[in-house]
This record gives sequence, structure tokens and C-alpha cells, in this order.
Amino acid sequence: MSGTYRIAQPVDLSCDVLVVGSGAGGAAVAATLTRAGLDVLMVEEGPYVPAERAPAQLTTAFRRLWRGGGLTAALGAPPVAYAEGRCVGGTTEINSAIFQQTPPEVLQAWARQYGIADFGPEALRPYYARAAQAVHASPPSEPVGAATERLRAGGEALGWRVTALERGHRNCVGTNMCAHGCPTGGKQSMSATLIPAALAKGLRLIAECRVERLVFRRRRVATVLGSARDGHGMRHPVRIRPRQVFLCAGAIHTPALLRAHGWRRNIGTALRLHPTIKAAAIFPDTIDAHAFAVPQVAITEFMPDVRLGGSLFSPSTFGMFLAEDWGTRAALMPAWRNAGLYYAMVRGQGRGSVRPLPGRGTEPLVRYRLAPVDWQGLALGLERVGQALFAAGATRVVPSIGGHPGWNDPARCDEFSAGGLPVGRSNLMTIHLAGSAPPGEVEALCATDSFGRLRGLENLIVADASQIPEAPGVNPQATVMALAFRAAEAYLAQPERARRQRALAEIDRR
Amino acid sequence: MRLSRDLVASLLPIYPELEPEARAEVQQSVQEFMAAELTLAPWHLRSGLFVLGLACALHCRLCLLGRPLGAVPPERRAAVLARWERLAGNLGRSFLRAVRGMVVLAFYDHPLVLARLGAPDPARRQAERRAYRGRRLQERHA
Ligand SMILES: Cc1cc2nc3c(=O)[nH]c(=O)nc-3n(C[C@H](O)[C@H](O)[C@H](O)COP(=O)(O)OP(=O)(O)OC[C@H]3O[C@@H](n4cnc5c(N)ncnc54)[C@H](O)[C@@H]3O)c2cc1C
Repeated sequence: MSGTYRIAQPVDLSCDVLVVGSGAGGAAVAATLTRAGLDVLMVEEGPYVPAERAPAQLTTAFRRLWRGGGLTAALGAPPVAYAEGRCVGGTTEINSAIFQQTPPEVLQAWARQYGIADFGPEALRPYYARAAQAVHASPPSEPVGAATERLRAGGEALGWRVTALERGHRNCVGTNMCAHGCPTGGKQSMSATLIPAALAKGLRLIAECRVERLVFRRRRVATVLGSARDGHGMRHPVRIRPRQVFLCAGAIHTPALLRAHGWRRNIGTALRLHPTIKAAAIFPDTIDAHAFAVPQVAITEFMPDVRLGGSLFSPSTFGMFLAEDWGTRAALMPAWRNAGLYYAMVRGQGRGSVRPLPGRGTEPLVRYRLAPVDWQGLALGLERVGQALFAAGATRVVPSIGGHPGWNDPARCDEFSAGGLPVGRSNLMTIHLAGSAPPGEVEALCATDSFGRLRGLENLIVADASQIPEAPGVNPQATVMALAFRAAEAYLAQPERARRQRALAEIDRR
Repeated sequence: MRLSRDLVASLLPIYPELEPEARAEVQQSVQEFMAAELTLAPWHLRSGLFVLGLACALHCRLCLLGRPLGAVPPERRAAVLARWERLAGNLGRSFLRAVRGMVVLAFYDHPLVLARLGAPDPARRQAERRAYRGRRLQERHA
């Protein structure tokens, strides 16, 4: 991509706006501001991996695209494994691109509770529309495969609401390698959409450049210091003097960076997520889940609190699931072509924290504690996943609980939730993080104003998943993008910027 | 590092059966993956894995009267590791589960193993899907 740079020596740069992080939030900001004619510089810690060079193997993808090689977890009892991307395009490069808007009643509740101005279904409508257009949110264009159909059939057989999911794609051909960085270009991640659009409008992007330090002068970020890797793996210091900073490093690294610099008020104190527990289903016939895209329906009957859906599948992800209790489950591996991976996800009411690890710069230490109601929701969700899969013809359903033998008939799972989940043996994970720097005017709860401006600093705006006040109960990328578009526009609406924007729009039109 | 090699050898799945050379090649690549993962993992997880790895190594040496894990037959290794899982409590169990998860993932991600399972070769599948998408786009535009 032209406009993408690699640094080969120490550099000293200046810009109108520095965007830290190139994921859903950062890309939406960069696209908006470059369109308005501003001089925007984006730095991204991870590498640029175009579709033609997407790794064929998941193990390679973990090393190149996933933060921490995929080994990241929120500590707690039990720990919750979480995942983030670390590459140009951020987590959108490894996600499944399911596009969902936060339900109106949830947005309204947040607007009230956090006192967020200009926020709610109506106020966000144009931004969601822009996000949908940017990623081409649309129904599947190819057959969805049996793993999807079984989930749909199971839910419908039980009379539950089943919703078809839109994804951000153009002619996705169901390679089932979303987590590798889409190899075909079908997934409309940020590196396929907003980043090239911003580059075409003059964005300068430095990949493999990590921001490490912010230097403040008179309530402003005066200088941003980082280091960038050259083609030989050597690191070079980078010094940037921006007029404005948009911090878009994601729900973990944004609060870690701010806290490491002494900004603590309501930052990294209320991390929210969707605790999720998986289950594998074995069907009597071949379903070849690996040969199609991620299941493209969800059972939404119990939303917004509990959602049931399906996961990406390959022999390796199935093997890893079985490895949780390999002694009793290894025998299921030969049935991989008859298997699918499903999940129950709850809109977590628990809370977590993000703190910089003492003595380790901005490296975060993440903790999370589930609320009792989350445990109830997960147990009920797992029971319902089991019921739906049996209703769809599964002969065995194995939940992600160490030592659990799995169910061989529906009667076994019907009463499951009454006993609750065994805390020490339940293997929880999440792929949705939020809430670590919430916006709003209720100062006791919020880290920033309603548009992401950090209180106490004149030129730093947060625009990423940390601004979603709580777990939304749906896939968050659309909301991250909508809020980032909104924050960027609010910044442009400042008087002198607005004049410049109008002048540039005029030039554009001519 | 020796423990890591011996652990990988002990935890490597036996299904599907592979020719000895193929198994050695897969084992080597799993080991490389594990080593890379350990360098990428966040510092506190890496430190935890390191400490628990040392404790596990000590346990194995004690059980095997000083012999390394790799020097005893597979059934004996499995028994020693099962004992560790029983005795080491939640943390010890989590350690072994995490290591086994990575080993199993890397094993079933390997093209030689996938071929044996009858699964498509990942690089070939990528190429085939790219070409297919290209054709679909052309059809759309035609
Ligand atoms: C496996 C998986 C599947 C998912 N599936 C879906 C889905 O189907 N639909 C959906 O809506 N959501 C999904 N999500 C979640 C969604 O992708 C994220 O919510 C969204 O991408 C978050 O956007 P963000 O901008 O906050 O952060 P990110 O997209 O994570 O971007 C942050 C970027 O900042 C960079 N960065 C961090 N620190 C620094 C630093 N110090 N210097 C420079 N750069 C830095 C990071 O490397 C990263 O690239 C999924 C997530 C995962 C992990």
C-alpha cells in the first residue's frame, strides 16, 4: 500500500493528527480526518500483512497477527482467555466480521446512566450506516454449510428466535480462515477498506511502530515517543509532535498506556467483556464445518443477556478444544468431519481492571471477575446450546468443562443449569472487550467527555472499544466504528476545523 | 528446554498414525511453535509458565529417579504427567492444559497431519479459494 512506511533510522515527525492503532476505531478516525484534508499520521505496533501473504497455517497467524501469540488472559478465578489482533487493521484482521448494532434499549440505558450527550439509536444511526457501508455489511453470498444449518434447525425446532447474521464481506467464499487474516480479500477488514481509503487521501502509516511514551506540556500531549522496527528487525526511535492525538489502541492497551502516564480516573477500572463458554457437537453425519464460513446464524431468543452461536472450525481448533480434557476426549478427534464448535456468550455484568505491570512500561496486567448472574447465564446458555444441538440431531455434546464426560442424550443436559457451572473447571474465553474508558458527563463514572476527549488534557481523544460503556451483548466492531466516526466528526466540528472542512469539501465537489 | 522437548514428545497426539520421519518433522515444528509462543506471550504468563515448567521438570525427575522424561517409554511418561496433574492443584493442571492445548493445536495444524486426516492442505486451499473468488467476481462483472 503506498503511504505505508517502514522506518530505517531514527525519525522526528510532526502532523495535524496522530492516530495510535489501526483497528476498527483508528481506521474509522483516519478515514474521516483524511477526507477532511488533515495531515494524519497513523502508527501501528504490528506488521502489515496483505491478503496475498495471509498465513496458511493458524500457528503462523498466531505469531504474526495475534497479540501475545494468542496467549493472552485476564487473571481471575477462573482466568478468562481473551484475544486481540496486533497488525495493520487490528483485531478486524482476525475477527469473523459479524456486523451487529447494539440494541436501541441498551444504547438508551447507557445514555441515561453515563450521561452521554447526543447518544442513542437515532443519534448513532448515521454512524452505524457509515460503518455498514464501509465494510459492506451484507448477508452471505455463498452456501452457509451444515454447521450453520444445524444451529438454525435446532433453534427453530425449539421455537426460539434464530437470526441470520450479516458480515462485513464482499464475495466471501467461506475459506474459514478469518482468524489467519482473510487470504482471499473477501472479508472487509480495515486493511481492505478504510485504511486504503485513508492512504489514498494522504494518510501516512507506519507499521511495526509501537508508542511507548507520551510527554505532556501544559495540559497537552506535546510529544509521543515510540520505536519502530526496520526490515531487519532493528528498532529505531520515533519522535512525533502532533497537534492532536487519537488514542485507538483497543480496550486493553489504551487504558494501559494512559494509566502508565498517571491518567487513572475511571480508566481501566471497569473493563467489560462477554464471558463465553464453548461446546462441541458431534453429529451422526459429515458436516465439514471447516469447509464453510463461521456459522452465520445466532440464537437470539435470550438476548441481550445470552446469545448462542457458532465458532470458526478447523481440525486444529477442534483438537485444541478437545485438549482441555485430552484423556477422555482424544477419542473424538477422528470424528472431526462430523463436528462443530458452538458457544454461549453472556452480556457480562462482572468487571475487570487493566493496570500497567510494575516495571514493564505499558505492558498490561488484566484481571476480570464474573458476577454471580454471569455464572447463571453461562450455565443456562450452555444448557440451551446443548438442547438446540440435540434438537438438530447431535449425538454427543461436550461442554468446555474439565472432567465433564459430555452429554449423550438431551435429557442429560436439560437439568444442567440447576447445578451451576463448576467455577474451577470451566474454561472461559472472550473475544469482545469494552468499557475501560467510558464516555459521558457523569464524572464519577466516565473517563472522557461524551465525544472521547480525555478529561484534563486538551488534545487527546479516545476512539476505540474502551469507549463502549459496557458489554453490548452483540458483536462490537460496528459500535466501535460508529463511535469512532462520531468522535472524529465532533473533533472536526470544532470551529476552525469546520471552516477548513467546508473549504475542502468545496474543493472536493469541484 | 529439554523439558519442553520431552513434554512436546509426551503430549504429541498419537492419532493419526504417522511414519517415523513425518512424526519427527511434525514434532520439530511443534517444538518451534512452542518456543516462539513462549517468547511472544505476555511477560507475566511467560514467567508463570516458566516457574510451573521448572516445578513440573523437578516432579518428573523425582518420579523417574533422575532420568529425563524423554528417556522412558510413553506409558510411563503419561503416568508421571497424570500424577503431576493430580498432585499439582489448579495451577499445575492449568499449566499442563495450556501446554497440551498448544501442542495439540500445532500438531493438527501441520500439513502432514492434515494430509493424513484427509483435510485439505491449507496453502493449496488458500490458493484454490482465491482463484474461486476471482472467478466469482469476474462472473459478477460480466
Ligand atoms: C477472534 C475474534 C473474533 C471477533 N469477531 C468479531 C465479529 O465477528 N464481529 C465483531 O463485531 N467483533 C468481533 N470481534 C471484536 C472486534 O474485532 C473488536 O471489538 C474491534 O476490532 C476492536 O476495535 P479497536 O479499534 O478497539 O481495537 P483493535 O481492532 O484491537 O485495534 C487496536 C490496534 O492498536 C494497536 N496498538 C495497541 N497498542 C499500541 C501502541 N502502543 N502503539 C501502536 N499501536 C498499538 C494494536 O496492535 C491494534 O492493531 C472479534 C474479536 C476477536 C479477537
